[in-house]
Amino acid sequence: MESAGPDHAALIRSCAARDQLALKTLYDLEAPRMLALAVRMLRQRDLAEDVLQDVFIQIWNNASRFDPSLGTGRAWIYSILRYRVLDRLRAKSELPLEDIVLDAQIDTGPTPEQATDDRQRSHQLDRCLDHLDDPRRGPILLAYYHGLSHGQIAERLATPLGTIKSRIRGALRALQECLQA
Amino acid sequence: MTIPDSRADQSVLIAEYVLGLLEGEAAREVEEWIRTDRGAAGMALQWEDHLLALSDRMVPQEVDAALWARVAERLAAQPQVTTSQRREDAEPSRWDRFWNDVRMWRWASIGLATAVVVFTVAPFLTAPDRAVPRVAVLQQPGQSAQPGWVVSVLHNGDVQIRGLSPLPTPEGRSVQIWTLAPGEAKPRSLGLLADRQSVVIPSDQIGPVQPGQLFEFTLEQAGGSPTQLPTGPILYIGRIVAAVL
Repeated sequence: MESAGPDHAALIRSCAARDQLALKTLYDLEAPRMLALAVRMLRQRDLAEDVLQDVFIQIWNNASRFDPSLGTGRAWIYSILRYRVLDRLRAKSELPLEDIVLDAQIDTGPTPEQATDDRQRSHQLDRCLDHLDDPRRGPILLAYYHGLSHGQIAERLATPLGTIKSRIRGALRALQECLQA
Repeated sequence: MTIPDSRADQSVLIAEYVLGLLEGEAAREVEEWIRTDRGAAGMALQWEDHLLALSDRMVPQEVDAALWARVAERLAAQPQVTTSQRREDAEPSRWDRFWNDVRMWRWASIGLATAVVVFTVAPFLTAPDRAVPRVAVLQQPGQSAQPGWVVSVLHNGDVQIRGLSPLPTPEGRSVQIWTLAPGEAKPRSLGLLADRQSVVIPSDQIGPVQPGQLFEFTLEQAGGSPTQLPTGPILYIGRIVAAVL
């Protein structure tokens, strides 16, 4: 399941065997990008750094529970990061609305760095997202990069909640079909 | 909300959860489902894997070196995992082998260390404390005849480490002080010795000191171990005993 390159699953197994070097290797591999995502979502670098610390402690403590037959090690690590960030976001009371909506416009295309990053895998999702129109792609990016819920997206886009929900479900169904194709 | 029957609808619901779109009861229900159902957990990780494409659009940011140091510190402060959680087939890490060696060494010399405490350390224990004094004598591995350093817990909980003879630091290196309490997985650094013959570690830095707690000095690169764990040879080592005088 793991693509060519660093073997995240093997490193997580080593963490389960209490090999701290393995954790450091995972950290060196992923922390810079994880930090970028956490800063993007939390919009506060010190908070993002706190979360990143917690995440690596969680990786260490839960490594023995990672089951490679369920998915890739890298997905597992990022799921820990995103759930942790989402917890923090839910605990924060307010989000700066206008900034975030503006940001969503920028989010729609790959960055130039993407092409030069040798760790970059060819992502099916990018191709599939391209097939979606903006009103369906936008909310998915708002959720991923900013952790907005259905209700928050409806509010931010001044669109009825039911409309947002069905639009997102439609988008996810289309993505799913595209990803399986 | 209930979990849909069709796999396609299940997958969409899980994607909504993974993206963080669900709130309240709906989020809790899907979370519980993922926790208890392998199929659901697999779908969640599949979505997470696909969505990595979005994380990979992020330009990596430089991470402050202090951040890893804090992670390592927190790992060191954590209680040790039980053996049953460990993989049987796992190669023991360099670190585990290191501590196994330490344990072997300890059994060889602990009896003598205890005896030395009574005679050598008694003059230091001046505090009229109701508690049983706690002390450790640090010796060079394999050189059990000669106590080198004495660790004593003062009445206010501070820990004093005193050398019976000076320990000059070799050029370009540092002598680092460590402790490992019973049940802790990794030793904690207590700082560098820096040519001092007496060091006091404040109680709020060291926390409660228990019988059986290890203290040791290691020879590290200048400035201390880069990994927040001892990497160099042990210069002195010993274990806290309750000294009944």
